[in-house]
Amino acid sequence: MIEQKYIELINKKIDGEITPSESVKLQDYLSRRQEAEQVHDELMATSTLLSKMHEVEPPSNLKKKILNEIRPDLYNVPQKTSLWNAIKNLIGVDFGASSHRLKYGFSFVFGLAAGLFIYSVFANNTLDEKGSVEITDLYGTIMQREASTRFTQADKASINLPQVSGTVSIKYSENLLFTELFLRASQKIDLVLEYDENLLVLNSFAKSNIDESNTLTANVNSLKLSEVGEGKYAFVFNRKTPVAVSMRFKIYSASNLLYEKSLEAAVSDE
Amino acid sequence: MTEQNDALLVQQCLEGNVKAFEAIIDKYQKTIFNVALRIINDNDDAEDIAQTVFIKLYEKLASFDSRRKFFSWLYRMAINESLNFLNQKKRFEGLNDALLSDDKTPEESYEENEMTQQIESALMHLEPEQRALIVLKHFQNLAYQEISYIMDIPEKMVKSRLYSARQLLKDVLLRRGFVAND
Repeated sequence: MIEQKYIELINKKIDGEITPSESVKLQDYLSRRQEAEQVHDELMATSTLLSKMHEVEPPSNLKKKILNEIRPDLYNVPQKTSLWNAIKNLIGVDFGASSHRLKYGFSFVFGLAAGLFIYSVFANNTLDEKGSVEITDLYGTIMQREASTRFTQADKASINLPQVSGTVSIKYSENLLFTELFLRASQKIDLVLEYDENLLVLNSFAKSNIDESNTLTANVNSLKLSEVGEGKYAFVFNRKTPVAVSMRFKIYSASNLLYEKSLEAAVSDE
Repeated sequence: MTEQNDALLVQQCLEGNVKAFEAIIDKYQKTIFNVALRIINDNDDAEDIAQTVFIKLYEKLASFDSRRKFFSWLYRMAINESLNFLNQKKRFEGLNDALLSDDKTPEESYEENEMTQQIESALMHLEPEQRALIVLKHFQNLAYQEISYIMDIPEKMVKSRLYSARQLLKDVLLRRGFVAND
């Protein structure tokens, strides 16, 4: 039977935590107790074996996957920007003294554009007849705001392809479905959202990369956003009835289907 | 110096510098992946855990206590995530036969040598918490005090549980002839 205090000393020796005086004491004990010496040798051999285990390289795309999942803007210090300043930044022009009149002018034009777009969506398929809408000029202007809308995360997926990576997620409130995509494509891609038009109708669209010239095409039961490169893209839909809905995301490159995924949003619990 | 660098990187992240977070990933992804791998013994799951750990780390950076060592904090997340994963898995799958199984696919057997396989297999005979202690002490060479913080148990308990874990591991390896019994 090995005394407990010597078992402790053996383990301290293995862990490199033994003091010189304890070491002498242990050595003396081991020289007198063959059983203790055997346990000591076996534990040392175990430790040596463990030290021979080499570290394994993590998958080469681990870093990319992590970066695709984080929100790069999480720690950006929020800067208060008025709509007018945002417009000035958007078009990169300083209007100087004439700023006041132009401010109202732009407000009018933006309001008109927003109104026309919403009308075209709600007043039955003007978009279908027209085929497509150049969305660049409508950037961030057309969302109908609901007071205190709270969204619930419904479903999310990662995209990890050689040509394109990112995430797609859907959130919902009682009346809205919010679709958000972070995409990074090595070449221009086309994004298609398929849904049931009896359940959803497009409310608004926004994107982060204002330099990108996209075309948004509305068809029966689907939307197509062309010439997508890199950035954040958001679609807001009105829910016609509060039932579970699904949305199918497809990514094409030169008409070849690269990615396909359905995400679900449950019945609103609000 | 490393600790100062880590604190600086955290500060830069909090100022919105994503490149600083990339530097943190570069520095620690191998370690965190290996910690998870040795506890879980599955490459895909270890990758998922490493990914989750870094995402949570990013989201919690603002709560980092700079009086603590950054890597201890990160290890703590990795250990918790790995143990939680095994708890969930056990709950859904009952007895964890897959972890104890010595059967590997031909590809896995080809890639791993006999000794590594045997040690991995022997480690799977320990309780997950015992495995975590072995990983932190033997693969990461951490002091009792650091392990105590990471595992959130007193230092005295670290020692006693580590000794038991090592004894158990020794017995398994002994039975398999990987530790000489003269």
